[in-house]
Amino acid sequence: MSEPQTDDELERLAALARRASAPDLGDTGRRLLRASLLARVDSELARAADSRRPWLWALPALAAGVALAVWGSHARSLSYEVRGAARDGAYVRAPSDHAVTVEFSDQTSVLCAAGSRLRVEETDPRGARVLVERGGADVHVVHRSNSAWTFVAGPFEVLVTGTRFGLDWDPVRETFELNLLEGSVEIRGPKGSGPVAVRAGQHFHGDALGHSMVVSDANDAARAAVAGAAPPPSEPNSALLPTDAVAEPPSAAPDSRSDAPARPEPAKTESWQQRITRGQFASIVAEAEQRGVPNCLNACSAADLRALSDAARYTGRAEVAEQSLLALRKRFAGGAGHDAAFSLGRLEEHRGALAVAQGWYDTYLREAPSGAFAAEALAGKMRAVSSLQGKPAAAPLARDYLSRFPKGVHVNTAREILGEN
Amino acid sequence: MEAAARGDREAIGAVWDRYADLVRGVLYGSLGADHALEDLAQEVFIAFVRGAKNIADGSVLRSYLAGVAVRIAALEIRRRKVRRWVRLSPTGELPERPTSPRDVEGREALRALHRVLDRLSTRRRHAFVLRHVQGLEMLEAAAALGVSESTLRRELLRAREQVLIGASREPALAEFLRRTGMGGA
Repeated sequence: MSEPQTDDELERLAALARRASAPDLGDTGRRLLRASLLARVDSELARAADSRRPWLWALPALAAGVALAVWGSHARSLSYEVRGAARDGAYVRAPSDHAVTVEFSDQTSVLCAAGSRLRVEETDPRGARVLVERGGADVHVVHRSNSAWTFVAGPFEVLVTGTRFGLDWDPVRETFELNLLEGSVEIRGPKGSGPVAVRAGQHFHGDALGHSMVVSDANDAARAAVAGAAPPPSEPNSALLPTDAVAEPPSAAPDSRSDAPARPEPAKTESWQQRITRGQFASIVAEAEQRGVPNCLNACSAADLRALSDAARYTGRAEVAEQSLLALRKRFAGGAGHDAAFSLGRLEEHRGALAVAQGWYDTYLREAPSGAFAAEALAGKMRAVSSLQGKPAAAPLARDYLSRFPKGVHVNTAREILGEN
Repeated sequence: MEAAARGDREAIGAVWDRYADLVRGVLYGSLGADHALEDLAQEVFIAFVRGAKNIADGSVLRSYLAGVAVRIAALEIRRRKVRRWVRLSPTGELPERPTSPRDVEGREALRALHRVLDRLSTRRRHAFVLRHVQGLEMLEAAAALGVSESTLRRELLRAREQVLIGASREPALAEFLRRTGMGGA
């Protein structure tokens, strides 16, 4: 074996890599993806317009606002004291054996649970911005006409004017819990999703990795937590909303992940994709049913829908698998939707509905002729046609398969159809 | 650029038409055959729409989009804690694709090339993909990676050394180079 050393050899290796380019979209695929992008652009622009619109309505109040700002510049920002631990700049660290209280000069108080850590990022005359780095806190914001408080936990942002609530942020699992005791708050999720309004007696569960924000009755959530299940129930007043987040690693300091505070374990631990790899199929289906399968079909990410369809298929819940795959087809153009057509073909074939299966395999082959499942889809169509119409009818498909996938795993089936075995 | 920054659908569509293959190629070069490829490509263009007003010079669009694709791919790799390159389906197997007999040999060589490239650091692999596979100019690739041209040169030099040495130790690649060096395709 000679040792490659030349630029010419490097170029040939690069050419080899170029041969394995991304699958060709085809004209239909390109049109679908382009339309999908533009639809999302429309949505983004509408959201941006909504966020700007209040300024138009607020113009008459601008003069008053300016006056308030002038007054505010002379007013003193809130001050605060930390009781139960030494103050360390803006950081408040509660030891592992007892809670710490932060008391602000407007009588607002934040009780940090043992082992928690937060940072008072900034204060002004109307409130403060508090970053919860990890752990739980009981918050009592004293309401005033112009009070404005913000509590930030990972990608979640709680906007408060006056209220009492408990919150908990787990930076490892990227889950955020909030129980609202009095008043109301608004919560924004990753990448500006929301805001979600939460009222007294309600529980908010945000999952940055699972791309979901759920508001439910606090008592139901508590019962679910005691039972060891995920908190969101399928009550009529529940709202399951996608966060539309790219699950980026949190910007919190890395060491905050390695030293979780001592407190009850949150109910949800891993994404559905991760749990699929652990074989926890039944629990995924159970969780989807607990949230309400229709909610998930309308709001879950493509990844979660794929995981749910797999989990349902593995546990014999064909109807849930079918619904999930159809939702993928409906909501996601491109790769995820195409692959769902193939999976639907598989599902129908296992059900014995061969004509329907053949239709889905055809759909996949039409939409993704060079897709990752092209060989399997062609083989499935070949099997369906052979069963429904006989081997002579399937012979052209068998020849096509042998031509395109000469080393494929269904070569023997194709040869059998052609009478070559 | 100004029209795209204003949210003009036609302008954004034109950018997609022109650069979709580049973006998909960079993502594919980083992640391989992947269910999320098209979703991630969409994220790249959404990032462009959000940031279009800050791009003063349309001539840098190619490297800008490649850079965003590199960052999104890197985030995805970090998120999944897996390192993959041209190849693997979510199940870890090469997807079956239409092949000629010659392509069957090519698949083996491709697997071997994947093993070689997978041993490069993420930045070095991206440098290799941008410069040699996607054919970006040095300045474009450097801008996409957010490094200086001299740093890119160093990365490419080391990538070249690692790839050539790695290829010499992979029988399928050695055979591929021997065959193609004799005038084969």
